[in-house]
Amino acid sequence: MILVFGFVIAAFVGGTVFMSLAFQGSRNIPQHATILPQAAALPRFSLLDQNGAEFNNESLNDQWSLIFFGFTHCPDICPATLQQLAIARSQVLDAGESTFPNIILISVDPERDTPEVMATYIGHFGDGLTGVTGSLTELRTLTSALGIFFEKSVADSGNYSVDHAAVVIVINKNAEFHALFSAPHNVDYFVNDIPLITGST
Amino acid sequence: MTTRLFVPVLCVLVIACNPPAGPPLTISKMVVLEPLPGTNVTAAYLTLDNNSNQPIAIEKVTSPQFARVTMHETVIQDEVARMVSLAPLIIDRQSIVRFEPGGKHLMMSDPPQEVTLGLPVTVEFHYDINDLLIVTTTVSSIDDLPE
Repeated sequence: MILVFGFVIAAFVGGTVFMSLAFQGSRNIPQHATILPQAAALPRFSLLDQNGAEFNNESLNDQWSLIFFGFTHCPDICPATLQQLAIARSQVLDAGESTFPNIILISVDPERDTPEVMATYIGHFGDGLTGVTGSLTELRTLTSALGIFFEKSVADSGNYSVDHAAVVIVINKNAEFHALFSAPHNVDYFVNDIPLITGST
Repeated sequence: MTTRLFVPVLCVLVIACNPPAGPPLTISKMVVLEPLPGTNVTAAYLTLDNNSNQPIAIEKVTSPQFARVTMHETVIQDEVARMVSLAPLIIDRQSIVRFEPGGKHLMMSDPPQEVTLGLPVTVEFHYDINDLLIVTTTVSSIDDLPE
């Protein structure tokens, strides 16, 4: 009887320790982002940042970046996603992390989104944001490599919107496509996973 | 004895067939966001409550502060976000429809005059052909949206 009781106690303690270790392990793995099995190099591209300066592959070197493709006349998902990223940035830095990836909005509506428009727009979301625009040809070069879809959608009124991919792309310090977050987005997903992806925890 | 039973039963039936009178359509939690700098477009979020026993059709939405107001839903399919028109929006009897970031929203654009934080905004919901519900709120910042 005592032997059986001892066995039960030992099994319980062992199980608890195992579950605890397994849980700790899972907390160190991104739970929401999809990590590419092998980071992919980007094609050569040349766009413009919000100051009118060239934004190209070298602009992504030596820092992690989060890229969202959207446009300034987008009423819902674009500002909501940028707001979520900006909040995540604040929360991660407030929690003691020393860095957070650069947040980059690349416009899929270069017709309306000039560098000046981008500068005014991204200014609302605080520091650490870059607004990028440029020619459709250069934009297509980059989006094709990342598997990013976008297409102009003209309404009967003549106004237009742009259908576009809703993912957030993670670019590593070597300017390579490293991971992505699928929509719908959530501040907690970014706060939990980004430090794990960038290796800052 | 029969009469004693009949009166309460009749009362229950009358109450069941005539629910307390109230507005068929109510709107709550309405937030009209300030257009972001450099843009002439914004979104509004709200909750629509059909308190009646009939479906309600929202035919269109207007606002004196915006030249165009349209009901849209952001639909994400195969990782692509598309805006789908909702007009007319049918609200089933005794049901609630929520307009929330990343989902259903009012797209409000082309304000004749600048729309700034704190400005009163009137939003007019035209429903069931001839009915009108007018709601007034003030312009909010995107920073005030729940995460």
